[in-house]
Amino acid sequence: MPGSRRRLVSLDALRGTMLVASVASNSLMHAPEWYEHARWAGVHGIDLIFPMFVTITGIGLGFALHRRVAPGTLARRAAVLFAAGLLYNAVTQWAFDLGTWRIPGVLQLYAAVVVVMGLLHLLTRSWIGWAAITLVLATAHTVILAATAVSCPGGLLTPACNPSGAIDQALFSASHIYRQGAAGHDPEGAIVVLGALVSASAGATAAHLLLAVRERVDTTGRSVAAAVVPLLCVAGASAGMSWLAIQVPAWVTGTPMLVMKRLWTAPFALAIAAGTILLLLGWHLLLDRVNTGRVLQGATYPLLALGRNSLLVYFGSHLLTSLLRRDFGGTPALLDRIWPVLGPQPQLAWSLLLVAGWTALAVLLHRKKVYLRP
Amino acid sequence: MTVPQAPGNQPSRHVTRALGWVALLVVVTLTCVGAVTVAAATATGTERILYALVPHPDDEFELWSFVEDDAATFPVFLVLTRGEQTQFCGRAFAKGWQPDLEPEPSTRPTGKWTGECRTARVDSLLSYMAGMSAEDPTIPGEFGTPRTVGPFPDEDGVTCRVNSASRTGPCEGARSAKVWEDVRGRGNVVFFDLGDGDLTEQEVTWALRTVRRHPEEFGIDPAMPEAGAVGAFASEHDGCFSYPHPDHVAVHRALANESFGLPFQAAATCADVSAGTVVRREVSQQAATSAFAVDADGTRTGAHTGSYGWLHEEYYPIDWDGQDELFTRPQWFWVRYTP
Repeated sequence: MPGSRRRLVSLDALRGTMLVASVASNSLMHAPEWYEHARWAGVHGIDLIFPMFVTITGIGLGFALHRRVAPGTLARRAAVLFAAGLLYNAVTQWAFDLGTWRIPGVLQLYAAVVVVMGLLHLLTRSWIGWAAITLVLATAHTVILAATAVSCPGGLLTPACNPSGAIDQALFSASHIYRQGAAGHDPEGAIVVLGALVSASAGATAAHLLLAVRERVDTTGRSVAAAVVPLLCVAGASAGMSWLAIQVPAWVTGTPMLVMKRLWTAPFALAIAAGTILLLLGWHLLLDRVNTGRVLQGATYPLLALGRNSLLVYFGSHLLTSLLRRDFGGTPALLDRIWPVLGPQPQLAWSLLLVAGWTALAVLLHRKKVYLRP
Repeated sequence: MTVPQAPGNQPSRHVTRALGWVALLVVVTLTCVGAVTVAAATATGTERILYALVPHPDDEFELWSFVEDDAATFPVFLVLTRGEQTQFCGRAFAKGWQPDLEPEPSTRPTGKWTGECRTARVDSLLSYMAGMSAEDPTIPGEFGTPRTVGPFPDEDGVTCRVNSASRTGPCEGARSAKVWEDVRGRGNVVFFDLGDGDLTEQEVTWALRTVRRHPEEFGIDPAMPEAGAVGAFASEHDGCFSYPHPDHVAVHRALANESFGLPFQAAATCADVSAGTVVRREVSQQAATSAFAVDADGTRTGAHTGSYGWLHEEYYPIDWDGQDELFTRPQWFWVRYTP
């Protein structure tokens, strides 16, 4: 099979790694503040996970769409993701009032990313083209934020003055966005979707570069090591662009661009992309070789299984935890009843139980070749 | 339907592709313009309270870039002391006030820590504000009759003012404040009396919390959203103008260490300070000139040089380009986001 058509096992392993981190993070009953979502500026531990997934999604879309784009399939996927996202919002918040149903959400963000990435693949399927798209989107996002900041008190983006609050309220109305608009922004709103597209585009750039390398390897017979320099260059360029996205606004307006998840700023998106690409390179060197070895194959099998069912595990684990933690009509939450029987280290036991449970399910489904795809 | 990959070598394909890129750039540009227009309209459409914390009545210009020419903010100047410890209220008065070049203070001070000194310094600030307001209509400068408000609760007993050079003697509680409201609703000036030279971080915290807990008493619409808080200059190192004045440091520490739950907390500092976020602002040429104008014959005609001229042997200088003076046109601030 030509190199460019082989499944990139490293991508599944990377997805699986992130899923372990995601399920474990989501299992924490009382996460320390440095790990919880940053309340505004800055980046905490848990802020890394979803953006890394979106970068990985960009890589995956780069591979999936490099030969052809099927608009009908993409539209169906987007519609299913969007509808599932609305349901996910209602269930996780246990709020089914149409008047306050939150429209943006994580799955809706995915839906938008899938549609836009598909459309942009009609325009270009080369790594140079995707590098240009990444640059254009990062510039656009930074311009929107920096130009808005100029009108804000002190030239500072705050929950009280930022484009997300204004635009998402204009698009969806305050009652249909995050915390009914009280937070002043929506962490999955329109502005954030644009930031997520920067992440996905950087991922797509890496994917198309890797594809180009693999095409060359097919003809020259070189090993996976051929990807080292190109992927390091993409990671380095992403990191460099991240630095520029901070500094250029500082040079122009005096205020450096914030590195933050809540508005998914370009420096944040690009830094995350750089890190994700480096992780991908690591797994690529280990797993995409011709002779991987049985021990390594066996050891990484659960990660690959998780990676093949990432949508199910990521959102399933969030949904399950949300339901287990919910207090229905005065009845204690199910998790509160489970907690005392989890032994002397209930948090550790609970985290291990969840990670093991979802991994077991993923392995079972992988063996049966059952994969949840919208 | 499947759209296959194009060979990409026919001229028509090149044209289509080029048009695609043009379309992308147009869409992105329109998105940017639309987003910025909507966001800017919202940002400037809501008036928000900005707390400007200054330790002494003459420090306002250190944060002027945050307050000038902004109709969307309602500045509340929290002046934390009356500046009664200045040597220019005592023996140095004759050195400071030059009758032929600058206005006489409203009340002739009779010594440090005296009522006359307090009054003279308060009036100097009001004069400065009036002068700046004359050039910038967004600045509060036409004040009605002041009101005394308080005393306010001080559960932790942090407010204390000691009126002596040796920092000994009775500790006077200073839990009241005086409020000047702009008659055109452009902002307020609140004077606390927390002790020039012995201002503490806890007192600054208490003052800001007190104002936020009792907005109506301080002439603030309780329904008005808050923008943030910004403090006057301090610098504990020699990276720029070194100014480790303990009252200024107290303001910095309060804003840096206490989370007031405001959208941001900031304070003026050196450009090279090590902080998470440092922003550069610049006072407009017009405002800086309005504050620091001096005639060819040496007459202090600026709002700052004139109103505060008696507090300096000559007059306070401004650094127009750098940070070699206390008052500067380019201004840097560390920022802490604390929603």
